[in-house]
Parts: sequence; C-alpha cells; structure tokens
Amino acid sequence: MALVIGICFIGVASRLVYVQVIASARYAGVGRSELLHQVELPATRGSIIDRQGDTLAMSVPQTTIVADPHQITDPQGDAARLSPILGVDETTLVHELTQDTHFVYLARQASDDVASRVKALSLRGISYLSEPKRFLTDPQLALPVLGTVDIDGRGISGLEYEYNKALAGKPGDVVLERDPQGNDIPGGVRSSQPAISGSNLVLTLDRPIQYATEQALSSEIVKANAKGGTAIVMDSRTGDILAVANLVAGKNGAPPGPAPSNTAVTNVYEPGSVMKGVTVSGALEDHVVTPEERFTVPGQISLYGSVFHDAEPHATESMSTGDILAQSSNVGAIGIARDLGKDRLFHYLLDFGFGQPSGLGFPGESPGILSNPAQWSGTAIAAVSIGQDEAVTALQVLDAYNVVANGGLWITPRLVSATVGANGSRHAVPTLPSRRVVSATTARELTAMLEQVVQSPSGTGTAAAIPGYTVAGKTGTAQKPLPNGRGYEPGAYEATFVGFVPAEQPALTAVVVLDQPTPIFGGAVAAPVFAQIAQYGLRELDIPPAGPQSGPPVTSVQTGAGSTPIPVRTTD
Amino acid sequence: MPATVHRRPAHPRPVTPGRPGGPKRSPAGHPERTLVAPTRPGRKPGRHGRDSAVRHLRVVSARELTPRARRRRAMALLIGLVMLVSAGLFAVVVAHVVLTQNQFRLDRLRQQVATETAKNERLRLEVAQAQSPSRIVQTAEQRLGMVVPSTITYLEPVGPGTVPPAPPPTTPASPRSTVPAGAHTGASSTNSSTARPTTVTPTTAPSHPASHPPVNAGTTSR
Repeated sequence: MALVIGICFIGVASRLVYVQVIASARYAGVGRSELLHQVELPATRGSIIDRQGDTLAMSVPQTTIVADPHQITDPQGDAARLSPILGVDETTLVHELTQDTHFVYLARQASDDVASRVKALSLRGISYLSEPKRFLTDPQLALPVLGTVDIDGRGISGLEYEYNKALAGKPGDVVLERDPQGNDIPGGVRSSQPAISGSNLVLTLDRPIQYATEQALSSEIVKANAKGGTAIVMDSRTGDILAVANLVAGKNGAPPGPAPSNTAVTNVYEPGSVMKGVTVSGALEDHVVTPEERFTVPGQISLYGSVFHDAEPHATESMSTGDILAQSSNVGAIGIARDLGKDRLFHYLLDFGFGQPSGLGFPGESPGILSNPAQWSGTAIAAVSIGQDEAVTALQVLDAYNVVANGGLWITPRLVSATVGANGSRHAVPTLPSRRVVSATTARELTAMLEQVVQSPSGTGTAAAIPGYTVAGKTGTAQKPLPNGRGYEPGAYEATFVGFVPAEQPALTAVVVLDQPTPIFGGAVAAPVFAQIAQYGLRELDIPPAGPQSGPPVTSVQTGAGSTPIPVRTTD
Repeated sequence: MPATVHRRPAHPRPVTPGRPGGPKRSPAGHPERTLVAPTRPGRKPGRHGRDSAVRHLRVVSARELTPRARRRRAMALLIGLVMLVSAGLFAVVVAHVVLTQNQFRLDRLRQQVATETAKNERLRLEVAQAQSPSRIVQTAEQRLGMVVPSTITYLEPVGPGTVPPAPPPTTPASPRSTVPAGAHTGASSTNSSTARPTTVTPTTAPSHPASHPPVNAGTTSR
C-alpha cells in the first residue's frame, strides 16, 4: 500500500517538476497567448486642406460591426434582424455568421445611425470597432486631384496616393488581457504605444476659385456639347496651382462630373496653335525675327507634298509677326519655324518644358510625346511648329505660357505647399529653382503680341477679354488624332485658350481645354471660360482693375464731407 | 444605624503553633513567622480549618496575572492577531475590489471620451461640409432665393469738389457669368488715396465667399 502511494507521489512530483521547472516557459507562453491580445490602434489620417485652411478631405471615426461566429447561437435569426439595418442580404449574413472563425466583418465603417440600431438589438457575439472613414467635404470638388483611399484607408490615387506615407501616420498598438469571452479586462493593459496621427497636407488650391472654375467649365461643356474639359488656374509668380478642374460630360442629361483621373496632367493631346507662341518666342530670342517685321503670307503652303493652310482662307497678304500670332496664321508660323530651324525649335520646345515631366510629381503625370528632330520627317517642322505631331498635357501648355508671364523664367508648378505634422510642425514643400528660358525683352515682346490676340478686332481670342484688365493669351484649335495614330479624326477637335492677366504685371495664368466642343474654335468656347475664371480669380485675389482708361464699367462716385447722401450711379 | 465598611474584627486571633487552623500567611512564607495577616472583614473564625495544603508564596505585583488570566490574555492576543490579519486581508480584498471598480469606471470614462471625441470629429465634418461652396450655393439659391448677378460694377471714389464725369456708355455685359459663389462689387482705387468707397451696395468681406453666402449685388439700393 505504501509502495503504491509512494509511486503515485513520485509520479506527481516528477510531473510537478516538469511543469514548474523544465517546461515552465512553454506553459507560461501558452497561458500568455490565451490571455494577452495585441490590438492595433489606428492612426488618424491627416486632412487635406486648401490654401486658406478650409478642409477638403478628412477622416472621421466610424463604427465597424464585427461578429464572433463561435458565439452566434442563431445565425438565421440574427441575420434576419441585421439584414434590413445593414442593407446586406440575409444569405450573405448567414454565410458570414457561420464561418469557422472568431472574427468576421459584418459592416465596415457604418454610420452612427446604423451602429446604434444594431446596438439596440443587443445580439450576443457582436462587437464594435472604431475605424476611420475618409470623407470629402464636397463630394466632387477637385476629386481627381485629391484622389481616393481604399477600404483600409490607404491612398490609391491622386494626392492621397502620392502623399500616403505622410498622411497615414503611424499606428500604435496595445497589449492587453482578455477574458475568454473576448472582453477586455480593465486594468489589464500590459503595454501600449499611442498612434501617431498623420500629417495634414496644405494644398495650393483655393477652394472658391476651384469651385468657380469647375462651374464655369461645367456650363461650357454643357453649352458646347463637349465630351469633357480641363482648366488650370495658376498664380503666375509662384507657380502655385490655384485650381485644376477635370470634368467629363454627364450621361443622359446629367451635369458634368469629375473625370476618372487628373487629366490635366495625365492626358496628352495635340495642342495646335498655342504652340505658335513657343515658335515665335524662340524666333524672337534667336533674333531670327523682330516684332515689327512683316511677312508675305500666302493662304496655304506646300511642303514635301503636304499642304498646310490657314484656318481662314485668304489671299497672300502682308502680316507682321504680331499679326501672325493674333490671327493664328499656320502658314506664317511655319515660315518663321523654317527660319528658326528644327534643332533650335526643338531646343526651345524642351526649354519651355515640353517632352518632359513638369516637376509637379503628380502620380501618373505624362511627360508628353516629342520626338527627336533627328527623326523628324520633312514636314515635321511645319507640323510641330503649329502644334501637331506632338503630344502635350494641359499643364505643360500652361507652364510654357507662364514662362512668358514671368519675363522668361520657368517656374515649376506646385500643388502642395506644406505638410503640417501632428505636433503642429509645418514643413514647407521646397520650391524648385527657376531657370531662364528666354530674355525679359523677348517675353515683353511676346506679351505685346499676345495682348493683340485678345484686343485686336481680328484677333482670335477677343472672347477672353476682361473689362478693366489687359489679357494676353493664345487660342488653339487642333484636330484629334485617330486612336491608331494614323491620321486625324474628322470633325473632332480640342479647343484651347491659354493666357495670363494682367498683362503688365501677370498675377494669374490659366489654360482651358475643351474636348470636341461645338463650335470647335478655342476662341469661341475656351476663351470665354478663361475670361470667367480669370475674372473670378482676380476678384478673389483682390487685384484691382488697371483704371478707367482700360474701359471697365467704372462709375465715379463723389465722396465728401458732410451729411449729404452720396449719389450712386451705377451702370448695369 | 448604617453599617460601617470596616468592622472591627470580632476578636484578635491568638497565635499558637500547631493550631488546627493552620499557620497564618505571612510575607516571608515561613509557617513559623508570627506575623498577623490582614484579615478579610467579615471572615468568620473557623474557616481556616479547611486550608490544609502548604502553599508556595511569593510577592506579586498588582498587575501580574493568574495563569488563567494569562491564558485568557494569550487567547485574546491570538484572536486579536487573527482579526488583524483578517482585517488586513479584507482590506486587501476591498482595495482590490475598489481598484477593479475604479478601473471599470476608468475604462467606461475612457470609452466615453473616445465616443465624444468621435462625435466631435463627426460634427467637425458636418461643419466642413456645410462650408463647402456647392452646399452654400445650393442653400442660397434654393432656400434663400438668391441669384448670381450677371454683371459686376466697379465703383471709383472721387475726391470732394470735383464733378464726377458722366458715366461711360453702358458696356456690354461682362461675360455671362454663371459663376455663382461670391460675386460682389469690388472697388477700384487706383487714382485716389481713399481706400474703399464708404457707400453703397453691399460689399461684405471681399474674399472667401465659401464662408459667406453670396450677396445679391444688384443695383437696388440698400
């Protein structure tokens, strides 16, 4: 008897020694793994705000409803009660609730209303997490530029993608004790590391100007029955992009909506006549032509078997350099380009920013298509000089004319001005240095010609005039190439107007492009949009008109001492 | 006649050795001593006859205790100690309970803080959404019946004593502006040092129309 007890005792003792001493770490580990639970603390994603501090996109905590299928006793009944609230059909819910797992999502980032109604059901096995959801303060404003995030809050397009790391912050984690039901044991926090919120992005966009630009472009798309359009407004001196609108026509009478991407930088097109500004700038800079020089310009010209003619047929006439620009004569421009030579022309095209990325760094930005002059055919110089046989983005066109607006200096465009960390520290995005493209004299000469485009009665851009201000700009109407690249689509044109205002001291540079409008001409459809958005921008930036001599609808109002009421005469 | 506390002994006891009543107690403890022990008042003679055993005697202080009392005392001490320990343990348990209760409370409060913070964020979103230009324009046009003016009028203040020139011929309306937000009159002040005209049609804050509803800058005077 004593022997049996002794053996049992030795057995128990050895087991004790084994558990307590030899394998203690393993058993303790098992216990810890059952008890402890690591939870990730999501970091609040940074907001995107405009230059005035108005929020454009922000993340807000929402309730994510999860279930532990192992604790669900009545999946059918629960699914029936949850289905109308969550808006998910019953079979899907039943499938989720019967999974062999401890964790399934029932609804992610549900609204307060939905969450409170689910909570009111008091179903067992349902728990709630806090998950942030991204909201735009205006559902469509600058959507292609801001971009979108996926369900987990990661940026997948636009600025949300480009600056994802700065916006995302760093999640924290907490290790805490949990009871077998999965509830947190209060006071059982073993270690915790707080999350670091993401930085806010401060954009150069100006929300009111962005809105006004989108509205003006939208109504013109409707009016001209266009397929879509792009407009960019930039602060001339700093290169800050104040607005960029990318719209496509709505289907079945719906108003135009945001384009699927930031087409202003991702899509390329053949610019047409706006390229003549670059051609003439190069010719002026190289002293190949002078502003007053007169040319004999026929109505059409034949080159290596191809015929180039002006938009409006005319007999051979005498035109100055300025006239060639103002009336957008193809033949005149080709003549100047041939005097300049293809290598110099190509040099100026590169210098004005074509054929390469602009430096903005936007995801998906296209460098454009510009082929090496060594590979140019005989007619290429003619085509390129008038804006065909090359592909550019709307931003490149804008940047090129901004060079003229800045007296010949290239200014790198900017969309983000700073990031503001969670602790309030502000890091400005550095501006890249400017470089000289043409001399100030050339810029001034070209500006005077561009003013004539808008002011001269025979100019193509008279619709871009703004009362009280001097506008300088250029129109463009270019055929769209066929998708296979061989030849052009009949009747399909892209209409452009690009310009800056006030001409004497440029503050705003803007470009407007319309895709397949009716009428087709840049001067008819794009120039009026330019006038509207530039006028709005000038008021928004408090830039006063030049004075009565410019002819604004100004009324003089007599102010004086005394109590006599001041007469107000206004013109309507 | 009231009884007196002390009564005289009825008679002094004679001291004789060998008396059956036994030797008297004395401080020296020697049965031969002839000290007179103090007698308890009222003690009848003859009772001494029952004390037959010889007792070991010593002087005790008033505070010293009998063995029984000592045992009682020890027991009392033990009980006291046990009670103390129990109280201590009980206090530990109570402390633990209080701690846990407060931890629950803390967690509940933390949860409340998180909920309120989230609510605050949602309200901030609502505010930001209400400030969006499209929302403001929608409210202005649909609820407040405002319209976007079709023309912009610039006013130029002229100093006193000068006759204002005749108004220029009406220029064609400025490009049809379907631009809703924030159309308002501005002022041109290029040739006078006075800043803005002190008169006239409502001009509220010039910029940030997104934060003010657009003002109908029609020429009906204020």
